[in-house]
Amino acid sequence: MLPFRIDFHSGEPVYEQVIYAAKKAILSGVLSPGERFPSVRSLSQELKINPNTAHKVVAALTAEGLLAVHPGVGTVVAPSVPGSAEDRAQVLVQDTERLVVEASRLGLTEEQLLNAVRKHWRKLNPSP
Amino acid sequence: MNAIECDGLTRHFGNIRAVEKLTLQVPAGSIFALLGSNGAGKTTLLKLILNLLRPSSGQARVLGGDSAKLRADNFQRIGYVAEDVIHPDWMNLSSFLGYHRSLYRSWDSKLESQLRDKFNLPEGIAIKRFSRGMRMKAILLSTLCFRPELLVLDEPFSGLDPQVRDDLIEGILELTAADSPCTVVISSHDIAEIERLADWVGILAHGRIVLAEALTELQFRFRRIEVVGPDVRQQMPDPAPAGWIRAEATTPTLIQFIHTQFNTNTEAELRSMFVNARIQSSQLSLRDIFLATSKSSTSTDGLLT
Amino acid sequence: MSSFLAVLKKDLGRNWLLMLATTLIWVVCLAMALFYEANPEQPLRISLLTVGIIARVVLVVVVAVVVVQTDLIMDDRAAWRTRPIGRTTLLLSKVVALTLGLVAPSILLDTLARLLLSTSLVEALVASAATGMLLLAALLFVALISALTRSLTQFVLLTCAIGVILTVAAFSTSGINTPNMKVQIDGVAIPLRNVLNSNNPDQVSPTTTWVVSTICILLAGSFSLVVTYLTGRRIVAFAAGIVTYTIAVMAPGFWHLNLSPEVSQAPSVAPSPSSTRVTSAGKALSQLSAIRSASIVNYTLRVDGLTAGWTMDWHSAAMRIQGSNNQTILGSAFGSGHGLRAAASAAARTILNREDRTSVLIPGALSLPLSDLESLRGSTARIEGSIRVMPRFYQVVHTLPLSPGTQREKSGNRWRVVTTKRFPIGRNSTDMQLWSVTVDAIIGTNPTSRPEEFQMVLVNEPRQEMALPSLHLKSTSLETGVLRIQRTEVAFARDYRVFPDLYGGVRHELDEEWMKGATLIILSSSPGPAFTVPLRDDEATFASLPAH
Repeated sequence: MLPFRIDFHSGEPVYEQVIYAAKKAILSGVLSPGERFPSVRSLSQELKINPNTAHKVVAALTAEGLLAVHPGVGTVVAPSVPGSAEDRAQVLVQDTERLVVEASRLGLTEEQLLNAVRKHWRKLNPSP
Repeated sequence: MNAIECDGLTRHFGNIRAVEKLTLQVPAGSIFALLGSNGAGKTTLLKLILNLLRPSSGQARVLGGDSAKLRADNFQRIGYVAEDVIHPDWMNLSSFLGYHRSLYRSWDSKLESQLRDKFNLPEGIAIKRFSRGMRMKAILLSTLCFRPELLVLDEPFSGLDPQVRDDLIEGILELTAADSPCTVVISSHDIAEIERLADWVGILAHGRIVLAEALTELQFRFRRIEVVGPDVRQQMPDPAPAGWIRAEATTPTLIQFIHTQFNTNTEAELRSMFVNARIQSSQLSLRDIFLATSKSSTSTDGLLT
Repeated sequence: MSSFLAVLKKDLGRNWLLMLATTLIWVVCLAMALFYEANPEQPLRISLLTVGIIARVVLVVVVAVVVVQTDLIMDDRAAWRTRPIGRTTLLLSKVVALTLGLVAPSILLDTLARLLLSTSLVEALVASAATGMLLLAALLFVALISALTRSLTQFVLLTCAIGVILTVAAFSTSGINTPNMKVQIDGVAIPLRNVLNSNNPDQVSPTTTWVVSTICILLAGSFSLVVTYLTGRRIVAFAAGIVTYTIAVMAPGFWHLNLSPEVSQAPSVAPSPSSTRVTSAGKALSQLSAIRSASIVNYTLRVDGLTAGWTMDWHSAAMRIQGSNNQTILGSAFGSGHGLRAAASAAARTILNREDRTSVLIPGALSLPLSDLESLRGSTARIEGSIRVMPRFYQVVHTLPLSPGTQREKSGNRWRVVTTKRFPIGRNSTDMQLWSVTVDAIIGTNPTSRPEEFQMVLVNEPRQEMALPSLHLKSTSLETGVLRIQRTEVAFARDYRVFPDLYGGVRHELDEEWMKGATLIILSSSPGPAFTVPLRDDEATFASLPAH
């Protein structure tokens, strides 16, 4: 079993969808540093995607420094996730956009939206 | 290196031009999706490639040799699965696989038992009494186990439920994940079922190839563009530039179209074309690309470039 | 090699049950035939045997069709087309499957049955191999038709179509067919017209022409199948089949071979071409019938120069007829057979101690172009040509007293009188009384030793008179491959004279008194070498040609 799930939807290239799901899993800590990342073969088999696509996903994540190749072991999540907070925020850009659109549709102000986000944040992280 | 090369391949049935002057390359090691609506000529093309039909003119080369000269020994390396093939289906699974095992030099018994576990097929009864999905699994099993270099699948998933389809795809991926990956050609009229599988796409319409290229390149150059800004409708060029299809200005402030020749400079060009406008571009799914090409039949010529 | 074995194993695996059933039916048929042979007192039940034989034929055909059509040739949907199975391999495996599954068991069983009939092993093997060859020739034809079609239904339809076409062709090309003549089918070869070859006055042996025919048909079948399998094109296959089978059917007519042993029992030398003279016997010619563009005119030949025990058949002739107006017509003629008269001649010599005859009259049918014949009406014409004649030697096989249950046996052939009864013929029961005699026969069918035909006549020695069959009432016969079992019922009438030149036309009643002193004579006939003699400066009057 893969450490992340993808509900493939039509409308976006498969490659982008897999990259997004993998990044989300790594950046959100579902996959911790040093943990083994699924091989090209199992990515392809489990997700029923083209092995070349799976290969490109792994190559792209490695190039971005999210994954590291350890000879003899395979591909693992890189020990310290490099990059700025901005990089990580980039992962959520779609979700954020959707949130903003929905809030505007409901007629919320920017302040009201931020308050709602802050409220949820504190619920999940009680001690700052 | 190409597994299949068609050059001016033509096949007429009386007055019907099933395949017309078709030129196509299928790169070795690719999973090539041959898309087209029913009657586009997919089955005829595949039968020409496999020497099941003789071309009226032109030539197809398969694994380096002329398809019209394919002999028994060449089929040690080529597998073909199609709905209408008449198999010795009075056999039960064991004798069916036993029969095929004795035909092939490169039969992989380990793969056979692995796939038999995965496919979970009934043992005692004749294959002709199998359900449609089980039958397709049995036939694919008899074809995967000799590890063909070229696997040709004609509408393998049509009418099958998603679970069977997933099993079949896993079986096919067993071959492509091997050290010496095989070339797979899958024809389909339903893109969704092979979108994740393919890395090369060919679109066939009326016996001609509309486009054939790597999926990543295809998805890169096909973009859905939205131009939002005051009075953009008035700035819309007329006629629409080459490469734009289905261009329309829905409201005075919104222009939507599909750009078929998107490249790294395109956004800058658009920005200079539409002053004070916001340009948004998004990639298209294979399905949308297929629909775009098949519906805008007037601009299919432009897509050939 | 491995794909050959794989396909063979697959086909035998699918059909072994049907093949076994075919073999078992054949075992039952042979057992029945052997039972009759061993128990002469048992009444023949030919219909039961017929059912078995028909069932076997049907099964054999079904097996052959299934074996071939499992891997369709004329269909791009067939799985073998995209498997590593070559066309030659496929054909070879099919032929071997049919040979192993159908022909080999048949040869084995036939040999076994012949051994039970105390034939020597070599003879039994040769004879069984010959019948096996016939079976294989038939199977190759079935295989060819199966390869050209896609299903059993299509096979049946195409076979019927070919049958209809052949029948029509046989009737329309044959010059001697009249409504009361049947097309004869001999072995697997349909004997079409025998073509006269005056340049080649050598030997023809009808007993064994079927061997040549069968070999030709086998070659035709093999060639057509190879073409069919290698090209996979229906039109090419059809063309190859039509051409090769036509050649195979025609070729033996040109093929003058003597494969059979010389007639061993002949007490005198066969008539020689040099001492044989042929003249026209009947000077007035009349039209028998007209078919399409040909008119059939009766024409009787007189052959002089016969030696003791021999008689002559009209084999074929080519003639040139020159009318008084110098118009020339080319005609041809074919033998109509006259075994009965020849048999009478032989019986007369052996039983009645008559003198050997040195001449015989042969009635025949001359085929002439209809359009030209009109001009000859009523005039006298000169006839020239060459006649091919076939000497035959008849000998008495058995003499049986005419009481039911009497039987005789000789060299594997057994004859038995079943019934004799008197019956009336004509509208009133008082018109004329004939005698019918029913005879059962079981004849060993070793093709190397079986006489070509048998004849029956009645002889009353004290009266020095002979009666010949005038009506064949019923005749049923069955070949099991090993034995021919037949029941014949013949009506006898006393001939006007013991030894007429021409049989037919005059019949006399047989009374109780005559029958009391009568014995049944069974004769067999063997052919001698055929030869061609010239016919010169003959005259005939086309006197009584009826108007259309």
